[in-house]
Amino acid sequence: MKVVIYRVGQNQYATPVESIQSIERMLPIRPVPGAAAHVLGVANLRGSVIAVSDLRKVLNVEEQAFTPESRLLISNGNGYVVDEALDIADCADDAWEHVGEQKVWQRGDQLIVWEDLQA
Amino acid sequence: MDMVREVAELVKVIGIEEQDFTILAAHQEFFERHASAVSDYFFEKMSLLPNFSLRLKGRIANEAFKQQQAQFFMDMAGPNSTQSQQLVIQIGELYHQLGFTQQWAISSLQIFENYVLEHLQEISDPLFYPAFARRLRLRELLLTSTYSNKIQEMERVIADKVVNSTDELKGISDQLSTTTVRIAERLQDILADSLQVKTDADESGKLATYVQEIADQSNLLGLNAAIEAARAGEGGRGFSVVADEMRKMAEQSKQYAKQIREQLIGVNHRIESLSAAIEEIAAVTEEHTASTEEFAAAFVQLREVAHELAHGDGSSK
Repeated sequence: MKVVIYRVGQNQYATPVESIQSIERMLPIRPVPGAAAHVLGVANLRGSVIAVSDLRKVLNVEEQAFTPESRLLISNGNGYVVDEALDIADCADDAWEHVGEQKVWQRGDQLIVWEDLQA
Repeated sequence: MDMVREVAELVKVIGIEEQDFTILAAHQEFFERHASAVSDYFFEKMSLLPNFSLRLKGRIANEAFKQQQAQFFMDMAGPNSTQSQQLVIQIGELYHQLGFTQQWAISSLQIFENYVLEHLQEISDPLFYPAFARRLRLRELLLTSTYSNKIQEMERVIADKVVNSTDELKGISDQLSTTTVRIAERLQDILADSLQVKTDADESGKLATYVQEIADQSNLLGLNAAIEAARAGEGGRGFSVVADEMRKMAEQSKQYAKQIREQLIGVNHRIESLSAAIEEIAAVTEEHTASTEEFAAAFVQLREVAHELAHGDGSSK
């Protein structure tokens, strides 16, 4: 299977490519009153309106200001803010191990956490 | 010359008159008879001085020197002629040439006087001694004048040498000034060049930033291409290779852009220290220029003094 690997805070996460349409640079975000805490607002992605969630809030990672490396992962019409997009990698299905409620993959020195992007 | 007039005036002071020469001429026989003894006496007295024989050695034979003294003595009875004066001047020049001082020359005259005083009983004419003494004073006057002339001549020779040397040095210092000014000008050029290099480096830094930007965009494009290829499944396998290559190139470009920027930082540092060094040199050169100008001014003054010495009238030609 192929996964998109990205960084949020100090940790690396992976999401299957099937769940991701594209990776984008940060877009101007318009806040929406009354939305959930992790929803930053809406943005215009090439003519389509998408909701933008802050994956850092979802994953309880301390938020940093956006940098030139900040990216939006586009999945099911939603945008997810990550700190850096790293790689598209191949991995065996049985490479994933269950640790508590999480699935992790030991990729070389790096521990990668499975993320469905369902939030 | 002034000296001739001055001597003529001083002759009046001495009070020597035609009658004195006549009285001395009447005693020609006395001078002739004693001439040889006088020169022996003179030589004997002078030999007491430690440097006397050293001065004569290799320059004039003792006999020739004695001959001169004898003639000098006999001429006391001679007529008051230019020839007689010339003889005294010649003796003075000889003394000067041999390195005897003016004081020595004047003391030497006293030897003649002492000798005559010792033999004065041979002469009955009471007017003889005053006439002799006055003519001796006249000779003393001529001797001192000869010495003054010689000294002035020497001063002129020295002054001419100083004039030539200062003229030469003035030329060198002018050249020095010109060179220093040229160095200062070239330094300004170099300073301007180094500032231009700094501007160029800053410009290159901007270009490196653009390269980095393009690398970032290419990387994102590569990631998205890889996603598209993966989603296309088997059909996208070929495209995924292209996407990977694209990302590798983007990564490399990013590294190069980073290296360029790091090198430019080094270049900027070196330019800054270079500019600082050039400014320091420029400051020193400015001081140098000022010193050179002072130097040149001092030479102009020295030259004026030298010309004054050489011409004795203060006009520097």
